[in-house]
Amino acid sequence: MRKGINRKWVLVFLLVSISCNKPLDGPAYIKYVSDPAHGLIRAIAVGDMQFEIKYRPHELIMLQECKGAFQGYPYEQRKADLKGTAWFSISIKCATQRLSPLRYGLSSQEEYNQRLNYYLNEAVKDIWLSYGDAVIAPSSYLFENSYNLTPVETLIVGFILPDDSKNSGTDLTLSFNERIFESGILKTGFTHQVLSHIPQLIYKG
Amino acid sequence: MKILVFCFLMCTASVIVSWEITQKAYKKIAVVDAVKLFDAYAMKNDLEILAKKDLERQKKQLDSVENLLEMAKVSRADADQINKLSETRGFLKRRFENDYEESNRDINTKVWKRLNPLLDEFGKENALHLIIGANGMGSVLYNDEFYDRTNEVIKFANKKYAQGN
Repeated sequence: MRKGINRKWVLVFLLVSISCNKPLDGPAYIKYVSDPAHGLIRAIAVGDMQFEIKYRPHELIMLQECKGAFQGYPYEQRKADLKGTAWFSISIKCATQRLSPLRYGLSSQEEYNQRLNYYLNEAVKDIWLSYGDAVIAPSSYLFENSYNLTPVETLIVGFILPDDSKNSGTDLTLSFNERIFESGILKTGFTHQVLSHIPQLIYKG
Repeated sequence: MKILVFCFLMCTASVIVSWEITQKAYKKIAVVDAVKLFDAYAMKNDLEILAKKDLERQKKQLDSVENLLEMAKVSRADADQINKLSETRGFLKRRFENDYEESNRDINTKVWKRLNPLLDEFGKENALHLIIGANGMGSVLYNDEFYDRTNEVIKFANKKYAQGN
């Protein structure tokens, strides 16, 4: 009887797991990764600033690169290129005013230039990823300057994960020691459970 | 007899219930040791580790110049060389002291910027009317463990920090 109940629960668990991981088409995939309930987007508010940290799965990057149309897109090649890397975006916006964070509470043009220089060249030194025992510096960094057209500034950051089995299956923790708005260290953990539940993308080349 | 026992039980129950309610009402105030909270906040320790790297590098530079100056004095080097080394030591010492003070101020600002909203959140989640900061500097002269929720707040703040807040 007990064995029967256990088997029933195992079956239910397997069915739930399979249904959670069922492959999705492009729009459904974007909807999944954009839903904060799935744990791939985290928001941190410090003072007047709001930070949104997103984990960017490889499939999402490829979907954005090919703008949703895979015809002629080197899907397999790109997938192989991205293997062993982890990508994140950090968006910064002001909670109280609709203006670029670079222009928030400015006292001079020089201060604006310092902020711009920080996000263009210096912020990358203040970002790191903890992966098991390893602490990894970014291998790729881009500041998407909005030129004050939108009230959000975004940093894109990529890491090459160490190729060892010791750390596989462990959580990823992204840390950003933000210096412009005196926010301190913004730490965001993405558990292995959340990452392994990201569904597959249906690819039709 | 049965009525008497029933009445006694009812009275005891109502006393217990009212005592519980009163206790809960008293618990609407919490005392938090601000210094202990500040020191135990994980972000403060992380920021100190980051600041330490640069300060240690500066300290090594200062020690090297101090050693050179001592050697120059012992070997009776010419006055110009001693003056130059002395000026360099003064500059490095001032820079080290300024950076040390600035890093302390910086950590203090950043930590309280994060802790203040977390204390608000803790208060709201636990339906507290008042959180009093005890810091050994005169605001709370004495409190026993009854109102003290420092450890709870430390756990709350560190959990939020690790999860991303």
